[in-house]
Amino acid sequence: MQFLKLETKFCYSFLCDSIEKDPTDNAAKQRESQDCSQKVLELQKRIESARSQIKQLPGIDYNIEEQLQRLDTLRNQLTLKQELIKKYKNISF
Amino acid sequence: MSLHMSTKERLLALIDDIEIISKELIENAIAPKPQKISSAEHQQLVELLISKDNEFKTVLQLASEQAKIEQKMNALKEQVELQDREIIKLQKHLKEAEHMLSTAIFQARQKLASIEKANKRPVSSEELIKYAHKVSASNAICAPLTWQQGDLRRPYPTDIEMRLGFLGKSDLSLNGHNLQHQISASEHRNTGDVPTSAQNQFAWHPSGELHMSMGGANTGSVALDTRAHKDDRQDDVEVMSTDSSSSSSSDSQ
Repeated sequence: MQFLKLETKFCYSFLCDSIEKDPTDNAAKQRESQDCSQKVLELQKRIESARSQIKQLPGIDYNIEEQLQRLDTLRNQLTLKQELIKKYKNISF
Repeated sequence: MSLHMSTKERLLALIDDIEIISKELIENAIAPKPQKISSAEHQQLVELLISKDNEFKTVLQLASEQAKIEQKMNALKEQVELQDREIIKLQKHLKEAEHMLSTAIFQARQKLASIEKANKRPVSSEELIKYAHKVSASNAICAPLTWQQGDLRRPYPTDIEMRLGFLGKSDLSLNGHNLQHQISASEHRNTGDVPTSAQNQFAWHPSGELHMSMGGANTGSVALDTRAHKDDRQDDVEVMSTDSSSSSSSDSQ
């Protein structure tokens, strides 16, 4: 999660840098454009890594409502099974 | 639409949107002046990016809560599995108990049926004991307590005992006439008719040979040479009946 937040911060800093800086010198411009292309590639990589991390996060295969429903179902299932076991253990023939 | 999407799908969609907006902004930044978008549009893009980022943060927060719920669910699943194993174990015990009970009931029914059958035709214990005594008197069921290896007693009648019996004596009487007359007289008394076999085609000669009478009118008889066979037979019989070592070996077989 923290890594994903850092990714978004990186995007902003990159965009700010590219927009604010506007050098007039040709050599500086070339350097700048090289830096920019590198940063663009880096941004792309970070977005990809953010995607792969999202896919590995646990418990997000369902939305929150479905997940709470499944949790309720599991609790009911557990209660029923416990009651069944108690009933059969206490039964007298 | 976002309500039916899973959290994962929402996060991935937001990442895609952020990527697209960033690409737009970068392309706008590097584009030549005539192709650049207006400042209003640029501002809109930036605001859109900010809102997407906020939404992304919210959904990330939701994902962290869902991860905690998932941990609780995993714990519940483990407990459910424990209960399942307990139920299967109890089922197995119940099945075993049911099998044992059904076997016991079956055997009890069989015993009740045999008791009922016995009660229909009761036999006194004295009669049973008498019969058991008769059966075991000849030592055919179990050897006598004093019996040991080398003892000549057998659970079956031996050759000597057979010869001493009625059949053995009736055979010997074929050689002497006195017994023959006695037999025929007894047969006359019993049946009134002398069977042809009683006239004895075969007779033992005093010398020990077996003679065959030829016809009714002829009084001659032919000696049948049985000495060699008889000797062998006697030897075999002696070996079979009186020789303790061979008989014990045959017994052991």
